[in-house]
Amino acid sequence: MSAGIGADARVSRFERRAMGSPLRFALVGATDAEARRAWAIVDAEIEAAEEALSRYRETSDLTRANRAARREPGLAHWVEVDLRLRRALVAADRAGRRTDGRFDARVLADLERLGSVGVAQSATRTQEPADAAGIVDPRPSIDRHARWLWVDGRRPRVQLGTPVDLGGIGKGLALRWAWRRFHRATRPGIGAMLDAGGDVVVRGPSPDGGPWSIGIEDPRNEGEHVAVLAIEDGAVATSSVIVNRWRAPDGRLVHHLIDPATGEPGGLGLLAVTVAGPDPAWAEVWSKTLFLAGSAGIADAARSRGLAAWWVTVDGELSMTAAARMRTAWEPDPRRTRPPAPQVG
Amino acid sequence: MAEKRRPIHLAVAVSVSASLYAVSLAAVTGLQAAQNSQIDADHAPMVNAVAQLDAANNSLEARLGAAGTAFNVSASAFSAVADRVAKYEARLKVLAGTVATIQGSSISLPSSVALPRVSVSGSRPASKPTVHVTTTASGH
Repeated sequence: MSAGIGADARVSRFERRAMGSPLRFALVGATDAEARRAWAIVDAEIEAAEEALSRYRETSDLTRANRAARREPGLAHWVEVDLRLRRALVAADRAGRRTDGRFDARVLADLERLGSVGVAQSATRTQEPADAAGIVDPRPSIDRHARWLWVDGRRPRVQLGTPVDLGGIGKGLALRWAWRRFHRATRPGIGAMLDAGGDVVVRGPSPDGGPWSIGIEDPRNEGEHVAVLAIEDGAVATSSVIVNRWRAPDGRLVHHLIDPATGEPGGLGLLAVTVAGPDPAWAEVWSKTLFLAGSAGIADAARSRGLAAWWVTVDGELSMTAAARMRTAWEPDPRRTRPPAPQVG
Repeated sequence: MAEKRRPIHLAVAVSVSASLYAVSLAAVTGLQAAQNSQIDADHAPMVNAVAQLDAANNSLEARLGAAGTAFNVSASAFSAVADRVAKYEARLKVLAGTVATIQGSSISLPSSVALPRVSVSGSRPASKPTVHVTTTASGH
């Protein structure tokens, strides 16, 4: 923990690794005792959520439920689980309906077919787009209309018809739950920021006294930003293909954002999508959903839902919705970073 | 003196004949009554059927009357609807003309319009502010 950063406000910082990413927690204006108690609350909730939702842990509830689903595919078995997993599965099912099937936790089968083995595949950043060539007759491994989840309303147990991955929404839900517990246990006036590998949730004030400045990393230049957001209270999530990509068994370069409609990596023409909103889990869901719309469809998809969204194309161009522009505190001079717009008459 | 014989045998014969006649008449009457009863019993189902048929006929007549009334009402309503359909058709024709005019105008419009870039430097800091946290790609 470090303290004393900022002009007048006392800043306390905590950090550890969780959910495959650095977990960072900062408090502004809290005493040492308050900060340690808040960190203990956040730390415990994140750990409990990871133990319930992670497919990277052998002992997690999700791993047990997935094993039961694999034992006899298509035949569901009741598995006693933590309440968090039941709530997360219900949330994932609802996200699928809200996004018209763009979000689907069952893409795990396609991820595994493409060679994902349940751990971060590569730490090497690359700007290459995923290979579209070589994809012949894309076909999803799942029946999109088949029911996959059964929950017991009286007992904490679930049945899965097929194995699922809660990666993005799981992280968002972990942040949501930890943030709520922290929020209830902490007096007003204390600013805070919780960052889990790029998914961020904040409440004011920041160390500077104003809103939090959240940079959107330039997917083509590590450490650089394509925009800086000013967020007083809310969440931000980014879906990007820069980190988590690998070579499929057939040699193609693929990434982890799978389009359920095709069973193949989606988001043609995009490198990264960032969404801001009140809740980290839904910010995650929408960032992934918008990414899968690709550069051709993302503007309509984002604007029709009134989302605050920023996206970077493979050409490096940053675009955003009107709701996003209201939250943008800074962006590079477009005359230096963008090619001139074509004159179409 | 010869005893004058009285014609008793005639009275007996007449009495016997009358008795026979009475018995025969009684038998014939009894047979006729039994026959009439049998005929009445045989006719009873037909009489009932005729009565039911009469009742059904009356009911059918009443329903035909009601149907006729409903038909008249429907015919009036249909006439009103037909008038309104005719009015809508006329309005649709006007709308079709308007749409055709708009389509003709839209064809002459460019597929996109290049707007001048708007400088927002006045409302935003020219230099990049201090970044507290970065949102980026995650491993999951």
